Amino acid sequence: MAGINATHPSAELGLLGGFNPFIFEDNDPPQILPIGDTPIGNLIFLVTDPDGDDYGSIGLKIAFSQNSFRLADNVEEFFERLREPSE
Amino acid sequence: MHRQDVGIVLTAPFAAGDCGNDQKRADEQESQAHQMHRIHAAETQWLRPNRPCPIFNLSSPLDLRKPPFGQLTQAASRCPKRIMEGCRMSWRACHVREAVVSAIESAYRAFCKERFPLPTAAQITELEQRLRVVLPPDYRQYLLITTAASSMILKSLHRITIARPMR
Repeated sequence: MAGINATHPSAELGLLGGFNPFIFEDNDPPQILPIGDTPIGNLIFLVTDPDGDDYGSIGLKIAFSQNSFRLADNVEEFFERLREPSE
Repeated sequence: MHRQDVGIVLTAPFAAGDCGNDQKRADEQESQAHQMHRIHAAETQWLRPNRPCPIFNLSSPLDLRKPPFGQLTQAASRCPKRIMEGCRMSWRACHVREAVVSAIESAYRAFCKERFPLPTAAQITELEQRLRVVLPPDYRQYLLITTAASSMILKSLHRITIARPMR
């Protein structure tokens, strides 16, 4: 997951060279915020629509597909699932 | 692991480059189980040391499922804070919160050679204004969390345990 002050420009949040919410059309103001990716190009995003039921949840969009999945309700649950994945 | 379609329509391709119709069709035909396997594999690969990481310089593979993370998780499950401070969070929520702090603290101790400077609260506020988003409070905390803060939490838990033993 990306934060700010990252030393790698591609991991920086909110810059043109990094994870930028405006890579998506119609995401202005941002309803989702890209916050990370996976080696195979899937996108990890944070729902930032304060009026939505999913506000604060973290999802994953499959690369080259319209499919997206909810990974966790919040960042804590996201780390919890990294630690204890089900087989 | 329970995951649901988040129901968001994304109107532009994520990655640069053209995958071609065949690749797109193949991706769409993957079963959900196969996709979950790919997600897990991708998440695991991200934690490997040869993967540039924005937060840590990793000196060895980081596996959050193995000790010391497992030991800290067990310690957190005793959760003295919930009993001593009348914490209103559910047992699981409290367990998760403390375990997350412990995991971050352990990752710093075990793997961090060089800590990149963390953003300040003012920088995050500026980021929110620039992006025109209101970040969820827990995500703000994730961006701001420091080893000092997590150490203070762990020490306070230890002090409470000594000063007021469980009945």
